[in-house]
Amino acid sequence: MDKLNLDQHISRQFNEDLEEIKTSMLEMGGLVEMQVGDAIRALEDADSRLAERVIEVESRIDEMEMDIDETCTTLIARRQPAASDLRLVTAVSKTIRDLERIGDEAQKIAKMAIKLSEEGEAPRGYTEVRHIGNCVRKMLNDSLDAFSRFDAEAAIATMKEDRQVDMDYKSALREMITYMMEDPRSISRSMNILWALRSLERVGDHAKNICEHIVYLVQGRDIRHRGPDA
Amino acid sequence: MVSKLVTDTATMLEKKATAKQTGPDAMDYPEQAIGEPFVKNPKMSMRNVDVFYGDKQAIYNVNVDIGQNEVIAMIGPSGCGKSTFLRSINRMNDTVESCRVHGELSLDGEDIYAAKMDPVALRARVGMVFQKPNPFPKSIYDNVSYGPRLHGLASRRAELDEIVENSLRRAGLWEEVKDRLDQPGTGLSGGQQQRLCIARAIAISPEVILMDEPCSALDPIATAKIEELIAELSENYTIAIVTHSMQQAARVSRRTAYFHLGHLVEVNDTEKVFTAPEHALTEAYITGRFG
Repeated sequence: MDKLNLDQHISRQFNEDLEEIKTSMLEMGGLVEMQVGDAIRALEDADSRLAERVIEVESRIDEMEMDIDETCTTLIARRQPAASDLRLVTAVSKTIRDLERIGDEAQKIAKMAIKLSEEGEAPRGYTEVRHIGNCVRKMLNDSLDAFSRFDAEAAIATMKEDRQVDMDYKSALREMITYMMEDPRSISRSMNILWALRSLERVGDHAKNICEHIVYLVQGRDIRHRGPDA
Repeated sequence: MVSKLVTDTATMLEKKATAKQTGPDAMDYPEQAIGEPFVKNPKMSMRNVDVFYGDKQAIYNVNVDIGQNEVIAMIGPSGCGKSTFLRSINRMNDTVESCRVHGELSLDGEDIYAAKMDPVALRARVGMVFQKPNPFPKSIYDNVSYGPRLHGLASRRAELDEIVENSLRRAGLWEEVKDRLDQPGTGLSGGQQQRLCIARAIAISPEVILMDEPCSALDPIATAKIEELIAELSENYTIAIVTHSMQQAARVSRRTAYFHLGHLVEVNDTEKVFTAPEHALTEAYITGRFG
């Protein structure tokens, strides 16, 4: 069962309801992507105004999550969706949760950007932020893209990228620790960068979760904790 | 980015719309039911079953088992043959002049359609509850005691009393009617009448109970009571239920069989059928995508 015909219900209203939760979710995803991008830029450029904006927009993401969640609950109550419809509703409901958490991570990065702009630049770690940032932004973008196209293959390919992100994060961590040991005066500023790196790594994890929801949605297989080949 | 995703979605929907001609209605039936139609030690086993009404074929080569003490739900759009199939299982179709049943149907390995099989004895082992409650125009007591008397299951009045009380208790009706057993069964409410019919069916200790849309004439509370009863009865009886309500199938059954225009398309665990069915036709029906 890898074909989803969202638009073929006897009830047109049902088609529209399902389409609506998916569209709103993708909209939320777009906003979250923008937040992550802005937060990274704010950190790199020590742009505290951009960082402030990221923090402001975060509440909008929380609202979207609650709105979509409510729509999902209403849809379950009114339509009792089954099979692929049910999977779509649960996948959307789980995905918005991950998106909201990514939003939180973006906010954390923005807070670190503000700190760094106040306390002065960290001596190191910006290359890593840029590199890991690019990787997880691509993962997030690809996962949302796979969701919009109901493409489980693309989702599986994307989730595999998370391993590289984890490895890059660990090596960045080691490097930062070595540096901090050599120059203890920079610890406070280096920690700010480390927290941001940690947040980016978490973004990758959430993007991976979204990919898992897509595989469940399209193929009806729950691959969490087991990997795509189980 | 937002607008890009929205455009992507729109393009995808357009593509889906043009692909509509190849939608569910144009799909083929599987040669054999997909999923898991067979079980170990089946109570009843049906092989290569074809059913005809005159020249018209109503059931095409159905192969399926019904397990011991399981509840199996048969679902499908109107005219898909699920009721016809159910009626073939206890030879209710014998009374329909033009109806012919081919294939091997067995109960505990015994051929149901063998010449030596007495249809009346068979129906005592495979009882049936119908869509509309149909109590006899007799007292509540007589409704339940009729079968045991006919089959000579009780020789004395006291034994009969016991069977009546037991059956009414199991059907969850005893408390409501114990003080008016001599009143006509037809005077009960719809839900009570249906439970009376179930009491009547279990009074002769059947092994299998077939239910043909037993709740379609009942309100939600009466329906809930019958469903509760089905769950309890399944401890001792094998139950096959035909239902139009997919939620009901999802609530009461362990396995679900999906029929489509006389073909058995898919049989799987109910949980699987309602979350991730294997066949596209099942999917289309369950999610309400049939035109």
